[in-house]
Amino acid sequence: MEDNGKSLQRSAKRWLYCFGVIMLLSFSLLGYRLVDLQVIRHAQLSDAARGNTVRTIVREPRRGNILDARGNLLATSLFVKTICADPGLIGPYGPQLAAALAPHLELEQAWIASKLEPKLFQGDAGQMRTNRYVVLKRKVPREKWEEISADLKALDLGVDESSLTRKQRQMLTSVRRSIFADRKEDQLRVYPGNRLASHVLGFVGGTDHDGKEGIEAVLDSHLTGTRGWRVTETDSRKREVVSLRHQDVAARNGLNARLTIDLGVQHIVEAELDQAMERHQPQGVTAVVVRPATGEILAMANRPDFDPNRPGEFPAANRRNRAVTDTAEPGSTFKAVTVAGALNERLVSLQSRFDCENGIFYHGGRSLRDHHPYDRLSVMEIITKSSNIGSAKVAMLLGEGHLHHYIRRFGFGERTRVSLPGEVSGTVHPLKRWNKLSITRVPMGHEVATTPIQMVMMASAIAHGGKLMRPMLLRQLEDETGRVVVQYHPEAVRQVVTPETARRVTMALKTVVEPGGTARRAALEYYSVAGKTGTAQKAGRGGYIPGKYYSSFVGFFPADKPALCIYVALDEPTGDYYGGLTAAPIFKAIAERSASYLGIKPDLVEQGSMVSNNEGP
Amino acid sequence: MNRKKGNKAVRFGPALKAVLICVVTCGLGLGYVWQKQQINSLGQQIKENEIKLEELRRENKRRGDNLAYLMSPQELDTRLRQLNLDLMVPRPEQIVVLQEQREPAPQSPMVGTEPIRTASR
Repeated sequence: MEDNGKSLQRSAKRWLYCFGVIMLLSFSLLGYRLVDLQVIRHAQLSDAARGNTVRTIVREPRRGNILDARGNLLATSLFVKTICADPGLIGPYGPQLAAALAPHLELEQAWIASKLEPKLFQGDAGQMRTNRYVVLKRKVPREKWEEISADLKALDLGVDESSLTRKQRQMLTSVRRSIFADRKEDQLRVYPGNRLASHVLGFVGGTDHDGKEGIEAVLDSHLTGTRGWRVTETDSRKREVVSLRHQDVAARNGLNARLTIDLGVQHIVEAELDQAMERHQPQGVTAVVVRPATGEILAMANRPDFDPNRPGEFPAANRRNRAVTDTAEPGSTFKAVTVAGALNERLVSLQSRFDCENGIFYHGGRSLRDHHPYDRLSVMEIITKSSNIGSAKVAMLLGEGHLHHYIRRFGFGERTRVSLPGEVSGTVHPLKRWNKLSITRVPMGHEVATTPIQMVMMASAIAHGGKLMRPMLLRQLEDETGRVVVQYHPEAVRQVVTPETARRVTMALKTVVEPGGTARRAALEYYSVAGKTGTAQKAGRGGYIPGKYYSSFVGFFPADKPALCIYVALDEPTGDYYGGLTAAPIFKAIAERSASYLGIKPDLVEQGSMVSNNEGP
Repeated sequence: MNRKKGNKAVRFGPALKAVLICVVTCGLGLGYVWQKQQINSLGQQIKENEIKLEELRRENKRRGDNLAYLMSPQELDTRLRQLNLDLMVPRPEQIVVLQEQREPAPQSPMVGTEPIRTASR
């Protein structure tokens, strides 16, 4: 009995020993596994685990709006979707999906079906793979994507789903989910006015939505904003667990830019330019409207133009802002510079008389002609009649040095620094390159090339007491709550001529629209106008091109207290080509409508029955 | 001592302590779970409200854009033509300008205390 008990005890001990060894081995293995997972492969596995749950979401900023001076929307951005597909999940259901998508995406069904077909390619390790990502359409509005998602959920794939196994049903679900919107949000730039102010606004392009032209390009860094991000965790169903958000930095939307452009005036100008294109069929037409006292640009327009919503559909020439990029010989509008210089130097008065040689003046072995023969004209009449010989004689009295000095002082030959890309400085030859004819040609706007913006700023300087202002296109930058972040102010460039000189030049310019002047068609019923016509033959290779003209008119009103300065130029008008017959009526139409829209107080007739001292805006 | 003395009275003290510890432990556990559930529930509410806010902002923007389009001069011009209202710009003699006493300008139109950066362009 005792032996039996001892044997049992030994056996139990042996079993216990074996069990202990097994347990030890098991725990050793577990320990090894633990060390393997937690120490040796810790970094790799923790990364994989984090990759399964932690998500970093980039929060895109919305590009800032562009507004006009009154807060009307000129450009805005919408968040849109990029519709993609995973051909690897589609299987044999490509045609059904293509048929469902085609009407929504406005694409051909066959094209979509071909995109949905899986393509095989060789991976880095040499294995064959199918493509998992194709873009079907970019810039799809959210509302459209919501419609597409709803349609896809309800899409009949031609299978009785009730008779399918769970796995087969899951496969069908993945087919429907194979069409998806890219996680990264894209933006669509919308210009509600379509072509309105297209050259000022410019457009955006490229995958990064960068500004390419106009204000969009100049203010790109301010309009773009700053990206935000969110680091968060998701549950097994890919839903965000808000309590496990690690970082949440909101995107800072781009600043809104408020321009000096007035949408109403811009619309008036563009409507008149459209009519001018029909009437005169020129190669191009440009108009700029400026407030002389501040240099604020209320409107700037060119024809031909483009739609910034789809800039690629227009030729590059249409996208050029001719008001700042194109130069032309200004013609007789330049006589105002010559006379201003001579008056400022006190070499002449408005009553000083010059012999205009009965229409033909020989100088430097070449003749200079007037359109009509004049005997003797006063300085004022030289402007009124636009006498080439008279202006040449005034310039000869002024001298080359002084003439060149005043041309440069009025801002010609240098950029105006308007906030638009591509501005050119024009051409003003240095004195040493002037020939013996230059003193008779430059005063009437030949041998110099100017831009429309330079011409309107020159006239504005005369209107504003001889003070040249920098053209101002930006009023302020605001954040999305409307708080002003940057305020821009009018900037005087220099005092070009004395206020008295400017007043006298204005007196002379007022006669241009009076009977006997060259621009009677620019006269306004309720406002006094000061202005100057210009008709320049276009220069080409080997000299001037017969029959091709650059016709312009620059003027301001009310003449003695100017509210607006307007420049209009037509490039190669057909039929009538004199500035007084082509550009002056456009000036008049723009001025009349703008004055009414802005409520500018007339100076030739009293308003209504109760007249106050209120100023127009 | 009590056992030696033959005291057969039930000792509630330790039992009560044990029960109390169990209750507190269970309470803490349940409280923890409840709190977690509340956090999760609030998280979901936050998420839902964020989505709702985003949708409202989007809708507000869409309506604002639509309003801007409807108020644009070219749209107004088109509507005038469509409705054949025969409206015209008033002539200056038809305009009566009334002079009103101007109120003193507010001290600062600015919101917030940050100074305005000024620049010229």
